[in-house]
Amino acid sequence: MHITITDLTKTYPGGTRALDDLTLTVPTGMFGLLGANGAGKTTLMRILAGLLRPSAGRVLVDDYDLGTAAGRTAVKRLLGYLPQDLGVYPDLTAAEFLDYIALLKGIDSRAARRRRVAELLEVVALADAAKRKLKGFSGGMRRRVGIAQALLNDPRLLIVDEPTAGLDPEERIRFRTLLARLAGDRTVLLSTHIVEDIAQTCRELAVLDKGKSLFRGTVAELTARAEGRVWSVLMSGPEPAGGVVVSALPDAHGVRYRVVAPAPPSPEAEPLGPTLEDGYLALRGAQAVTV
Amino acid sequence: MTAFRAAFGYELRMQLRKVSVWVTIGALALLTAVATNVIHLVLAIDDGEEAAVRAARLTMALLPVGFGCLVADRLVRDDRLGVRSLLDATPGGLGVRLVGKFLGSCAATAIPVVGSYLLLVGAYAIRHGDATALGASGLLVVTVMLPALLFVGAFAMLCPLVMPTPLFRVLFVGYWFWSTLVYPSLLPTLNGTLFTPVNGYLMRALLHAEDGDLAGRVDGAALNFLRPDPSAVTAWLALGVLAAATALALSGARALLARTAR
Repeated sequence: MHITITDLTKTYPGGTRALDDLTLTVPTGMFGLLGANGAGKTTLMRILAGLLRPSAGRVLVDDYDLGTAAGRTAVKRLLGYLPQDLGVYPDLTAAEFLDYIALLKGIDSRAARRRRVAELLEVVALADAAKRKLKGFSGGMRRRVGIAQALLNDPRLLIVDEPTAGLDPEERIRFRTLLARLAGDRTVLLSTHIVEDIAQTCRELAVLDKGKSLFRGTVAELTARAEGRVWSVLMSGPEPAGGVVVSALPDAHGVRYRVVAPAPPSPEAEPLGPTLEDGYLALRGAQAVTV
Repeated sequence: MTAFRAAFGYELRMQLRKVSVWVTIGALALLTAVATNVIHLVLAIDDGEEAAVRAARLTMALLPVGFGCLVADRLVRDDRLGVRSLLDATPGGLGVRLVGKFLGSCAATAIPVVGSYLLLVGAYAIRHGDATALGASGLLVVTVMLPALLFVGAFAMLCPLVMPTPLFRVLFVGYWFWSTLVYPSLLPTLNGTLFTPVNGYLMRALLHAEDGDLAGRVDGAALNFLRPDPSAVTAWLALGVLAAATALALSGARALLARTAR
């Protein structure tokens, strides 16, 4: 599926402009969406999922126009959606909850629903907990139920908002792999704060900032933004000025900083190869990040 | 249709599993039985149809209060639990899902209410060896009790969308006593009018019930212009008013839910 977003604006009733004349294309395959809090990622995701109406502009998913009720319904039939703030009914079991969503997604045959639910519980490693009530599930387990419900209708368009939040490292890797495997001939839109998730799964991405597209291109192109601007420097005093600190690792002689800066932050600074995170910070430029 | 089935079936299942549904309605039924001397008011009556009407009036005195309070959180809890965006992202229409949710939660909560009533009427039928009470009770459940409960359920879904649920519960208890239990000559009330949820006009028209304050003009009461003489026409008119108000409340709830997408 191919998503074409043209001059999209969303202004909330309070006057907050979450999306500002955004124009973007999302091709088939895995596509990442990066941005700081309040950049407009979740608003964009909610518009694409048919949950919010834009104030202006147009969104086409293949030929379906999300500005029309018929278009939204058609897209919802092809959609798998995992929202950022996922909720579940605590008084249902995992299997019942998935069965409920499967019915809502139009999977009419009971046998087909049972088969699909069992299959997905297996995929997210919850088969043993199928008959347990969701109120007893940990955050990570609930997240996995959320992932399973998004896949129930074998969606052509998968929209996942912060999908790996709350997952342990193993689960994160497992889910990333699953998403990448699913991408194939469908569109998977992945919004996340975790740059590594995008680096490991997406070929293309967009960076949003204050409702606008700050960057649209490949992971390699964004990474290249930091080429010749990433430095390693050991300092015993205050952190280096004039750049963005990516990480700080204390050792016996002081603190070793990884810095994104246009020029070496000190004469002893050594150049390093850039990562996607460096590219993202080079693009955003300003705020210091200390890890 | 699958969206309706899903919402109806799972709301029914979730509500039936709530212990508070059975405890609340059970406690109110017990309170009603103890406070009103059921043996005297219902079981000692000779006429089966009259006993069925009396039992319906007793059941509909307090139990709908519990019913309304129990249904009040069903719609707003989707937001509280964070489930709503998942549900809204499915292709079934909002209206269809709302009606399924409404009917499912009302059906589940009505089961102990109607069950209490049928238990009482059943006890009467056994005691007197008179099956007419059972026939009348079926008619009353369908034409009087369920429409009243659906009316309550619709407003219990709508109102918590615009006010905190506990506030709705307090206001609803006040409304219920005022509109159905206050004797019309004591103070201005909807009791006995075309606009009261417990349709006394139908009780009089279908079963020729005689209780004076059920429907129609009450000497010395205010709002008598809302109490036309009981007849088949006014009975169905009262039912129509109730159905229209129920539909209006559901439409309002749908409009409020749809507004959040804008």
